[in-house]
Amino acid sequence: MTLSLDAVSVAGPVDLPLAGEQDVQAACGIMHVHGRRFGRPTPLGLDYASIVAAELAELGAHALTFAQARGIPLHAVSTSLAQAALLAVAQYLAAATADDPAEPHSPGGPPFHSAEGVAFEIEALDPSVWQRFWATFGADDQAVSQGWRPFLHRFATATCPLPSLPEVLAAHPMAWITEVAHRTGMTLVRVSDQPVCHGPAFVLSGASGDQRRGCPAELLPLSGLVVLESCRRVQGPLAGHLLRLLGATVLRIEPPGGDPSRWVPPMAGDTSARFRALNWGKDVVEIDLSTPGGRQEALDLATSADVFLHNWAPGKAEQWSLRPADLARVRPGIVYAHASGWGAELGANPPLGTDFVVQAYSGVPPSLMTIVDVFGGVVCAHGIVTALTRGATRVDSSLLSAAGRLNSWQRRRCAEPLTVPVCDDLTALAADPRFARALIQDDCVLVSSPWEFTS
Amino acid sequence: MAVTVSIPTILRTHTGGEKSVSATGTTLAEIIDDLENNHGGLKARLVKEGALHRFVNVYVNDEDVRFAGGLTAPVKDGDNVTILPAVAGG
Repeated sequence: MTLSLDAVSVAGPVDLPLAGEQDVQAACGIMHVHGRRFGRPTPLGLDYASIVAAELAELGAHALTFAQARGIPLHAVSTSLAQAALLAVAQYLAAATADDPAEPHSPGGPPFHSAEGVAFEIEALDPSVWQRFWATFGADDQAVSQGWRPFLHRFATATCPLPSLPEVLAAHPMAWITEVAHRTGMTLVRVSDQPVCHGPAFVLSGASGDQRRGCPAELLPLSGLVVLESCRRVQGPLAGHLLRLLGATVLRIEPPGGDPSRWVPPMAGDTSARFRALNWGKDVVEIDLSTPGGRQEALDLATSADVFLHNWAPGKAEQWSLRPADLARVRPGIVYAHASGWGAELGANPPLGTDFVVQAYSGVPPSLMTIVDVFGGVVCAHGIVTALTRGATRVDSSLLSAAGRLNSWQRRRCAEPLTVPVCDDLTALAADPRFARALIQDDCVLVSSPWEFTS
Repeated sequence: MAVTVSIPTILRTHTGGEKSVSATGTTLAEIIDDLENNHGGLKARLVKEGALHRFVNVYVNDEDVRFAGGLTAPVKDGDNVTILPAVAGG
């Protein structure tokens, strides 16, 4: 695929003379965030803003078609590279403008290399796995202990300084490292030098029958539609967030006590800034889905929903009897969307499906910015809106399918000279009046909708 | 042995809104027991079945206590104990 940017402007509502991809990455904070691990602003290895904007443009076009089918008088939609870039840095922007002082961002980060020079990623969500893995190699206890926090937080900070640990692995052959990872439960994926790009970004199936919803009073494509969402972390919540920006009412199912992500610093008011960036404006209901009563409550809510969106781990929907057929039974025609890590590609027990592991597996030019998570959210929302438009009832997308879509765009890496200064401070960007029309000043700075619809 | 404990927003209902409180003890378990005595309800939010709750990270002077014995991790006078929610992955 080549980029077709006819329907997409470069700067959109940003009042800067942005000439193209490089300028957008520089001015809108992508170079800054991606470059944290290197200690200096650095362009991504792909035309990320252009690719995200192209996907947003297609999504917006489908939303427009859907709006028109519903009798909502909208006639045009626009987006821009700058809005796509700001969407990608939204979490980092929210964190930089939160109440707590920003954490310092020391450079550093994976991938690791074996003695033979094989590059690989590791992932653990459990500190005991991390500890067992490094202990087997005789790594220094203090380095192991002090490394856990930056490793855990690299999703939020885009950097991961791990003094002395990469050197430990560089002394061992790949076969032994793989063996230790297997024994200790550490996820290990080699960095692929072959970009994976087979398969579509999302798969639609099922047929809703004639379920076109009536025209609501508001004027956005999904106004009047209800999305029931049970999602954590980034990809799923971002998909729900985009649907809300298209006008849907999004009801989030959170566990009793609320999603733990709500309390992760830095805070903006009484909620985590990063959480706000992905979930502002959603309604919330606390339900314990591990109980039969809780699951019944979710099904009751689904009876008045148009979309059910989740990003549960493999097997969870079956275990909870909340499969597509279970939802369709209580709400015929409901769109059932699953935003997973790997889809069905790696079988029933895939490795941990986090952004950086999927980057490694799929050969996406690596970044500690969550570029696959964000794009996965866009792709999932795109699938859902397409399903609504075409009357499909099931959407399956994954970080892997999103990575494949990223890879399918030509790697042309714009090299034109910069015509704008490089942003090296998200706080300054947030306060810059030239960005005011693209941002919302709240308890922290939030990013406005990436689309403008006109009637 | 007095230490300072930073309380995350979600648990401040137990500390009357205080962001940090002091507690005494020679291990993390003793610190949590002392917290419970003065701020009832905190222990149940931190400890489950005799171990730190999965969704809680506790740091002593920036070191995750899970690497220092968990609830048996030693603390000394003047240490800073930070409680944070644990959320991993992207």
